[in-house]
Parts: sequence; C-alpha cells; structure tokens
Amino acid sequence: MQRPAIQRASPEAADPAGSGAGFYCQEVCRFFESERGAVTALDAVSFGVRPSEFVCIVGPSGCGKSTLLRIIAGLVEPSSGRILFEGKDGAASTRGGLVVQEHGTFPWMTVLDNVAFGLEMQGVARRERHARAAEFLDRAGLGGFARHYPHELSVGMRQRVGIGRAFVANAPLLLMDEPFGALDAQTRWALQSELLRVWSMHRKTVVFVTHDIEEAILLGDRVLVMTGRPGRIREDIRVPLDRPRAAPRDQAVIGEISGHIWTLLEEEVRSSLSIR
Amino acid sequence: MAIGFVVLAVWEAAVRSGAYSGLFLPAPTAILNVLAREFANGKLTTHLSATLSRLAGGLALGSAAGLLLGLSMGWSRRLREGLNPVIAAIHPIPKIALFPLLIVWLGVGEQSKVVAVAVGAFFPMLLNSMAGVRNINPVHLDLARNSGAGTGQLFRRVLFPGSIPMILTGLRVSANVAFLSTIGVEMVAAKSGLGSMLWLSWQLFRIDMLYATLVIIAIIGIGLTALIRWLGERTAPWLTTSSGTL
Repeated sequence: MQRPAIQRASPEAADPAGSGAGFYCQEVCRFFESERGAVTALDAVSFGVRPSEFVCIVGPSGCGKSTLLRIIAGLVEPSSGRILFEGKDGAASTRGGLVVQEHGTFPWMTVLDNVAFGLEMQGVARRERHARAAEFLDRAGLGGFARHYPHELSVGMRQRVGIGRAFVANAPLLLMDEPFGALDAQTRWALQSELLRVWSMHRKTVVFVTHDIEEAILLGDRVLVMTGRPGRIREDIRVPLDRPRAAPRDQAVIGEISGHIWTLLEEEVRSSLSIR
Repeated sequence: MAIGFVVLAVWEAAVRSGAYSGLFLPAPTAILNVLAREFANGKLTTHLSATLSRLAGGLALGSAAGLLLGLSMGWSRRLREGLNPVIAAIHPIPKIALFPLLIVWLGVGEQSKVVAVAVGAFFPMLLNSMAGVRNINPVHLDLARNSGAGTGQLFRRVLFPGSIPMILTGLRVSANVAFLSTIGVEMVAAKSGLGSMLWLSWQLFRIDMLYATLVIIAIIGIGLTALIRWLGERTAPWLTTSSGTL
C-alpha cells in the first residue's frame, strides 16, 4: 500500500450540505503580565476555518490552544488581531457552542434543563425548548435521565449532556475544549465515535482542542499543530481519510501522521518535563 | 427515644424519692405542670407569640438585607473592596453591645428589639452569600456567557442557584444568632417574650418556671432547625437526591 504523504492543507470546497459557519483568525496575539515580565501566550496566530469543517488543534499543555479557543468564543479579548466571522451576525455563530472538559453541566438543573439551556438563553419558550431537548435525549438514549440531576450521572454521561446542549442550541460553530480529556480511554473511544455520528447529521463547524494526537487525526478534516511559548501554529495538516472514519482501516494513516506530529512536539514536551 | 424515656424516668424517681431536692432540678412532671398551667391561663401563649414575632421579623429583615448585599458584594469587586473595611469594623462588635445604642436611636419599643435581632442575623447571611457567589465555578459563568446570558439571567440561572448551599448555611447561622439575640434582648429590656419570662423566673426564684421556659426555647430551636432543613430541601432538590448531601 502506498504511504500517503503528509498533506498540507489547501483551499478546497466546503461541504455545502452542512449547517456550519466559517471564520478567519487574523494575526491573533495575546500577551499578559506575570511576575516574570510580559508573557506571549499567542503570537500572531492566523488560520481560516471553512463552513462545516472539523478542525482539530493539537498541542502540548500550556501551548495556548485553550486560550485561542476562548478568544474565538469571545470570552477573552485578544491583545491584538481579530476573528472575522462570516455573515453579518457572524460573531453570534459561537453562541451556545462551547463544550468544556469538566463541570460542563449545571448541578442545580435537571439534565433536561441543562440540554435546553442554550435555547433558554436564546429566548425560546419553555414548551418548545423542553420538547427539543427531550427529543435529543431520547435519540441519544438518555431519555430516561431527563429528570435526573447531573451528579446522578457518570462523568461520561455528563459530557454527553454538555455536548448535547451545544447541538440543541443549534450553534453553527462548536468550540470544544478537550471535551474527552477527563475521561478514561475506553469512554473516550466510545464518545469519539458518538460525536462523529451526531456531527455527521448536522455538519456544524467544529474547532476541537485536544492534547491527544491520534484523537485529533481520527476526528478532524484538518489538524493544526500548535507549539507553545509563544503559542504558534506550526503546521496545518489535511487528514486524507474518508468519512465515516473506521478505526481498523484508517489506523495506518493515523499512525503515520501522528508519528510526524510527535516529531514536531516531542522536543517541547520533553523540555517542559525537564527530560533532557 | 428509648434512652430519653429512661433518663426522664430516672430523673423523676430521683426527685420523688427525696434523693435530692427538687429545688435545683425539678422533676419532669413538675415542669410539665407549669407548662400546662401557663398555657391554660394564656400567659405562655402571649410570651411565645411576642418572641416569635420578634424573631421572625428580625430574622426576615436581617437575612434579606444580608442576602441582597452579600450577593451584590460577591458579584461586584468595587462594591466588595469598598465595603469590606466597614464590615470588618462592625462585625466583631458583639451585637448585644449595640442594643443600648439602638434604644437611644429607636426608643424602648418593639422597633429597637427587632432591629437588634436583625443586626445579629445580618452578618452571617452577608458573609455566606458573598462567599457563595465568589465560589461559583468560573466554567459555569463561561458557559452561561457563551450561551448568551444577560446579567439578569446570569444571576437568576447561575449565580443564585449556585450559591444556595452557602446561603442556606448562612441562614442556619443567622437563625441561630437571631434567636440568641431575641432571648438576650428580652432578658435585658422587655416585659414580654420568653427571655423576659426567663429573667422573671430567676428574679422570683421560680425554678420550675425557669426550666419550663428553657424547654419551650429548646423546642423552638429544634423547630427552627427543622424549618430551615425543609426550606433547603425545597429550594435545592439536587442536594438531597441520592448521593447529594444537605
């Protein structure tokens, strides 16, 4: 079998059938002051994301990938640079699309209210938002837990609720900050395929931050490799795998690309651990 | 419960047999007699309602004020930094020491007593609700903001519910202090209420009535705790289901 070359990303047609929104990250910088003087968290980061694309950002801890995501989400102001969203109300495309690693559910709300929360903030009436949330939960197999509280669910199920909220809120752009980082490997595998299954039905635009190299390649159309101190995009790799992804068939390609990415990151990770 | 009955029985027997004088520790039946008598002639009811109305009024006033200010200070750094010195200065003063001042300002009537109780209830509630807001996980705020929550929605759907556990703790302490303050104020300067009944019993050396009053006070204390527990279960159902704790 021919070894696929590592392909750099190039401009290609977007998926017209999807419901996602695109954006362009332009020269985004983020500085802050610390005891050791000025720290550059992000250094002129620029990249574009096409509508309905699934882009993964992978990098070592502390490289700034979460900061970048939060800037895109509008939670943090960049020190310079900007995010250019498509469409006239582009910035609203991030509304409701944030998924976090832990504590992504409100403990004082039922599972149903949690999933309906995005719609609630958008002003959707109670009956309708509960109906839509209940429909999602039923299709996801969580229908029996609608009236439960999050602490009664396992960690993995709580993550499913958090992801469910983002999908039900109908955000065109989903921003996921290591959503599977706190889970054990088996739960992670199960949720990865579940995420791809749900995503393929709506084809939202997704920016997925992770430290797991193989996960990034498995899930993404493109992988942005980030290095830190200061945070920069080192490489923009296109994943040459068809969808739907199938673990056994695609394993060789995934292994190849992840080996390449690791050569980019290994140095930084080792030095951060003081391994010489 | 069985142990309680045994204790009461032994107590009763000890006094009746003359093993020691019922003067300093009357028999349970003697105490019950006093209670029955004072209920019948209406005096107990009068004192009870006086105490309860001061307690309820003062607790409501003080804890509402403490809650509002506490939530605001928890949210606004400027308010917090501005008022913290003031709070720190007043808080350590024993509230009962403020009572004479309140009499000067508000007279010897009900107002000064209710306000004294309110002042006692104010600080625990303020401090706890402030802490409740500040201890909200920032991730929850991020998620709410990202979902498009305005400030009002942020308060109603995130900050307030998230603070309820600490607010309840504050309420428990506030109720405790309010009750203490009520009895204290009544002992010092009132002609009605359980505190005044306590003091009168002492003055007249009516030890059986003293104990009877203490029993009523204890029952109110238990009732207050139960009431707050019930309130907690109503407002925070997520803390009481299965593995949650209240």
